Amino acid sequence: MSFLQSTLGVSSVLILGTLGMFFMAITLVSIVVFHQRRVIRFNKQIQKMEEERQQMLLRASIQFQEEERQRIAADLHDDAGPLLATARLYLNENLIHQEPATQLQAIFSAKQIIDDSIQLIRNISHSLMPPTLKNFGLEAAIKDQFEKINASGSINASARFHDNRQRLSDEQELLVFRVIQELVTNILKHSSAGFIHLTQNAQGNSVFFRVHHDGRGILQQDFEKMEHGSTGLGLKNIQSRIRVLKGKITFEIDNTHTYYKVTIEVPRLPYK
Amino acid sequence: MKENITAILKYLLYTGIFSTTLPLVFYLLFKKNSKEKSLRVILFYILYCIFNEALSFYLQSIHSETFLILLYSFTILEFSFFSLFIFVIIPDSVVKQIIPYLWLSFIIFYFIDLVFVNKGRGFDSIAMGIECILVLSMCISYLFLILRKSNNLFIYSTFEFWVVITFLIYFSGTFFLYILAESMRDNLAFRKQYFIINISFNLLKNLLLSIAMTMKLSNTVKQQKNTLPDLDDDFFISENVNFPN
Repeated sequence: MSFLQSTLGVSSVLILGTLGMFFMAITLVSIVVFHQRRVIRFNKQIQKMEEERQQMLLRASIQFQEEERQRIAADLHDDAGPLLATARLYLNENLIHQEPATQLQAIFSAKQIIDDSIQLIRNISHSLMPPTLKNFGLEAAIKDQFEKINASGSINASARFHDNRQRLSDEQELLVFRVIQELVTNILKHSSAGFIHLTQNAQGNSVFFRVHHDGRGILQQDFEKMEHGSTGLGLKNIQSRIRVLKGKITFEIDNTHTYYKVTIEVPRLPYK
Repeated sequence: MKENITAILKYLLYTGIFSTTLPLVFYLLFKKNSKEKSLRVILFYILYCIFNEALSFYLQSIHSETFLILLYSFTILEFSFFSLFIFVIIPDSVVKQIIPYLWLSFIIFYFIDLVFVNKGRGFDSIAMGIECILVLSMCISYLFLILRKSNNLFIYSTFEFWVVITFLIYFSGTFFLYILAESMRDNLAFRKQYFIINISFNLLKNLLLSIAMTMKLSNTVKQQKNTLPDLDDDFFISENVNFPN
């Protein structure tokens, strides 16, 4: 300091030092303000992206509903329609002029066709809302579904519920069932797995479901990529259902790379 | 010419003294009903500054020893007010934990320096320089922490941010002044410069504090704790299931 004082003079040291410190302080404040503005801009961008993603999920959900409606319409039109038309043919006005034996035969055939139609409509109804789920809950519905998969003989499916004393609400159970159904369908369609195993447990105020399989699976980054992309309608539906559940879904592979696991976390709402 | 300069300096002095009341006026206009701790600390600081300015103006000409005591106590109280303010507003961190110890260390150092080194002879450049460095460090730590932990809020539109930059600019501007003051107290040219720079930065400090009073108060951003359980695979996999190797 004394060297500077002798070379530059007291006034110069004081003025230069004060100005230097002052500009340093101003620079620091400017950096803080500009950085903050950049952070805000970045946050807004993320918010915008999130909104776009929500839009995409909403579109996927609407598309899925439309496809579901089209499927039901096609089932009714292509299967139930012809069956009922055939039954109507058997029961035409000329039937009263026929022989009693022919009449009996026609009524029997019509009855058979109407029974088939009832069965068909029941199947459509079950595909919309599984009766086991409605009457006996999620555990029974999943086990029932897995038994049917097992019965096919091509894949080994099992489910184990560790702590299901406190059930989820009806709405939550249906959503979880749909998510698991979608996951299992994907595994059956794309993974060539030898087994599917589902475990359920509860911890704190959350219920966890984990689906394990030994086929080709996807990881979290693949799921996020597909979720933002135009493909993967089923996965988008899973995500939108998870959002409705206010839950979380994680796609992982185990450390030994022998099986994939999908974990669903659902916050518990009391069963009504 | 000389008379003109003396008149200008006189006006500057009066402006400097009266500017101390400006933040109080703005407080009464904009923040009268707020009961935030940080605001209270700054309000007491402003009141103390007004009291100090008035008393030192009165005592400077008649009683130099009492004036020195006022100067020493101002350093301690100014540092205490600022430490308390930063302690209240800074997000939870190591810095927050350190502040009370820092304050205590400075007070102890200040008394030791005053009694054994400076011996009450006059302006204490070492203690003032250290006060400046500590205040600047606390300001920079606050800005760094608030940048790291800030949410979407525009921090530069908050009361706390403006108070911190007020102290940052004030202590940056007067740092060289204070560290040179002791050795240059007999230099008349320096005394004039000291007077002008000190009054200018005091004026700037009061203006910035007044602006701060018009800004909205914000609660410090609190850290969100992760409540997700650490899940182990064994937790899920049933003991009856044998997975293929």
